[in-house]
Amino acid sequence: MHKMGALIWNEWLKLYKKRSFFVPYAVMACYIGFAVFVVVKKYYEPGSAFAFMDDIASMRFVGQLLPIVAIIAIANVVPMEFRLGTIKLLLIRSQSRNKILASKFIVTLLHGFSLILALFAMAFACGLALYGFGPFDWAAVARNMLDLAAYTFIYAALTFMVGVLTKSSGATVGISMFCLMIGSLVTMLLSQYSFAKFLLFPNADLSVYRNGGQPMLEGMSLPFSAAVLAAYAVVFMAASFATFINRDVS
Amino acid sequence: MGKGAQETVLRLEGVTKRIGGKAIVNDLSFELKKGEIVGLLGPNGAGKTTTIRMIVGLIKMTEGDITVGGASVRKDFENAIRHVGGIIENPEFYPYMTGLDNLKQYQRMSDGVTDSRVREAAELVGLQHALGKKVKTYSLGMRQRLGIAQALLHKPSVLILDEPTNGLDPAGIREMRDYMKHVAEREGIAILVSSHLLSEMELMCSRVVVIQEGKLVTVRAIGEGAGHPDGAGAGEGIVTVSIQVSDPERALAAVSAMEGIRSANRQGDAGRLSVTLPHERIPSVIQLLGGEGIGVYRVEEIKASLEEEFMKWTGGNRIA
Repeated sequence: MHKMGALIWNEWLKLYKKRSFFVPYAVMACYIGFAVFVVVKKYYEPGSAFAFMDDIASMRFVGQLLPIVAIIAIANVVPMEFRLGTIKLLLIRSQSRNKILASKFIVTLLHGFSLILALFAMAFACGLALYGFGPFDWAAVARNMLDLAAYTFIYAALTFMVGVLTKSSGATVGISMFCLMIGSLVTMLLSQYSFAKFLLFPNADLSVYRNGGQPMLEGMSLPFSAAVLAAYAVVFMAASFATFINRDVS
Repeated sequence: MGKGAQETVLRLEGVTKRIGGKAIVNDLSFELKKGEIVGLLGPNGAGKTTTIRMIVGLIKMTEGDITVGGASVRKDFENAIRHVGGIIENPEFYPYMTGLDNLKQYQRMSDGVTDSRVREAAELVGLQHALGKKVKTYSLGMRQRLGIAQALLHKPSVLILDEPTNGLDPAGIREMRDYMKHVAEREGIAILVSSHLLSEMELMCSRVVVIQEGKLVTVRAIGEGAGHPDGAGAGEGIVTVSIQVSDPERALAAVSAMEGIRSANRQGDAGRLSVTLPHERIPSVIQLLGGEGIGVYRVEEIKASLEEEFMKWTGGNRIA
């Protein structure tokens, strides 16, 4: 993969040099600050730094926000090149379109992971400030991170694909947000049909399987959901690459 | 064109683009040799932009092939495109980054482009002092210059320019033209430029490739005698003059009978003749008319501009 590192660095700079880069981190910081306020006011008492972090950085709280804030940046990764017209200068280099799109996708994932890490770091710091260092269940932390990563990843891949297909960041934000919002509603409406368990939405949140929890629909399990997510990811990737490689830029 | 010994750097062979059964570009073939500036001309919708974009790989061709420096755009894109520098319409950059950051993006994507080469390219277009500024503060002229810098960064052997003077003011257009001539002469880079500004092409190009409805109409050399309205007899001292006389009927009869006259016709209603003849016969025509008692008011050479020729080639039914 000649030059792949350079391409990824290029893409990261395109994200990082934007003023809006820090918006998602700031939004999460605000949320966590709000949570700290609630704890200080004693409306909610997790009891330890670990419990605070485990709650805050989970699907029940800020974790749910991750795809929403990630979409802001991801919806721009491919559409921005078309909107600015820079796609014409980007694709006439001695690099294949495959490599260029791959570098963009990798940066999309890196961005998602950086959000997750920032979330945990902020939650950890606030937990320490509130309760001091206590016993930590690091396995639970890791599991939580993986669940969030899967949830963020699948919506990131969906957003990325919509971006490639529509070339419009506005449409991408709209469509991706819509998919995120209506997920649980659609699952509920279709829950009587057996095919509903093959939909993306009920499978996206793997944290439901933690501590022997029950899945949203009958017949689902952690391996089942993981496989469904993987299948969706493959389809999203295949559609993105096939479209991008064969597209005439005019 | 008398430059047959020069090496071919860009070759189009039977290039065809069909969209939904309609041929946008149809069996187009031509080539560019080292150091020459060739204009791609055609009315709107003739397929200029599609052709340019197929050369740089933005649009896939349906049939045929394009080779750059011997490498096929179709089968070996990464090796073909490394010889190409391009400005496709207005050069667009990341406005929130500085000029240098933008150039560095393209530096990282190409092999062997050093930091000093980046500086050199910026100096060539006189942008070395503006590199630290964000591109959103640049004027269109500065962006155009940054566009040239990015196109030259990796020392290409062919420059492809699609409507490079679009939106530039006269000074900017002239500057652009000077850069083009400079890089063609000094660095031996072949340039293919599409434009609808015919007078521009006339000043810049050594050859023009004219296409219409996706097909090749003609390939013409510009300069030495090529301005002749019939396009023939270039360089042989044959000229066409317009003579305004008092009695066009008699004048036409007298001139037509003369020796060495290639053609003579009435021209318009203003008592004018259009006469094609060898340069050295002009005095005897005037003598003859004087001897016949026909008054001669004006004798002017008719030099068809590229625009007139263009109208003829393309049937003149559409505005370029």
